[in-house]
Amino acid sequence: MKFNVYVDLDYWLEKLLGLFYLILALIIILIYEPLSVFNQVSIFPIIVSPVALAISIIFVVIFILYLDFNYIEITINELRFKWFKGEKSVRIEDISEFHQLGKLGSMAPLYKIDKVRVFTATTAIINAGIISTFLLPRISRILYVVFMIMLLITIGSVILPARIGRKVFAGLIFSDVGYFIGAVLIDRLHLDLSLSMILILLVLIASFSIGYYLGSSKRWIYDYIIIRALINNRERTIILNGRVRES
Amino acid sequence: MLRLPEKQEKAWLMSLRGLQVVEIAEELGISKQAVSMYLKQARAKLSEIFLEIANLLDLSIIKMNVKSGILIGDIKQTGERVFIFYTFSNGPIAIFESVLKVKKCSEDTNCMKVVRFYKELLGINHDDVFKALKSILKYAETI
Repeated sequence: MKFNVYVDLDYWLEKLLGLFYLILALIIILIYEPLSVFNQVSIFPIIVSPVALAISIIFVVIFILYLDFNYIEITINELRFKWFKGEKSVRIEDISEFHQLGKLGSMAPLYKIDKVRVFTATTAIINAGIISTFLLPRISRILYVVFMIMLLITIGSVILPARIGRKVFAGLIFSDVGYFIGAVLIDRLHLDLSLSMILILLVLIASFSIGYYLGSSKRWIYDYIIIRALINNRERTIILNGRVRES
Repeated sequence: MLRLPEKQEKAWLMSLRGLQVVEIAEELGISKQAVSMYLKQARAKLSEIFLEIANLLDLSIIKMNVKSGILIGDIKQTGERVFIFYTFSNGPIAIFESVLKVKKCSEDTNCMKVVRFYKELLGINHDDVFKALKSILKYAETI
């Protein structure tokens, strides 16, 4: 049987995404040049733009490459999957662990069950926190403080039992995005306080509901299957992501 | 028979307790190569046992960890969650998640065998059987 799923080995993509978020945050910090307050010299914006463009292109290429690792074939004796230019194979008897993440976690917390998504989302949240430090205080300090509290609550929700935690976590991530967009809108539209409060509240409820729904739906968010097995005498982790469709 | 051969079972239990291959070899009075072979055979046999149980109970497998001797699955017909634990000298034992709701885990049941085995293995101190069982099921999900 051959399945159309995306394959990752030893969290290769997650590590790359984490690195990308880190570099992105660093670039934003450099663009806002905290050091220029002292030396009055503005060099970074000129250097950073082409560097940021080059880094973005590299990561887009890597991501396109990842999309090429797109099948796994299961036979009676082995698993075979695409990896770079060739294929890797695992003997069935060498598999020591198998987890279907989306269905685990009636008691255990989300961060212990779904490490892959929690890691990627948390690095993105930290990155959003760093970036907003340079943007939101210019609009309003209160909006900024509330946003930081919301980000902390989002990160804190990973201790909830995974079954409910993954929906709440998705809902809170959407609320954070909704709040950020709402805050920028309030600034641009110059709304009065009561209208702003109503708008923010509506955006928060709507975005949380969408995230909560998507977090509980297998239709939009694909599940992960993690397999630990010996490949060439080394224990490695195979991560499968996608809707299982035979081809 | 859904059991590991005696030597494989002993080597597997010691590895579960965190002993290294050298320590297991010393304890059992055999070579390191023999221990590695027993462990490899034990894991392969456990995979076989778990797949057979999954087939018997009509389970969709959610998690399988042969190093720890744990299988978690949902019964396809009812959707109920089942935890299968391989325990030393008892072999595989099934715990249905609903046991936490109906609160039936008396002295002579398989459920109690799992509680005793894991209380010793994990050093769980709860006197309440169901609190201990909840910790064991939580451990099974995260290991």
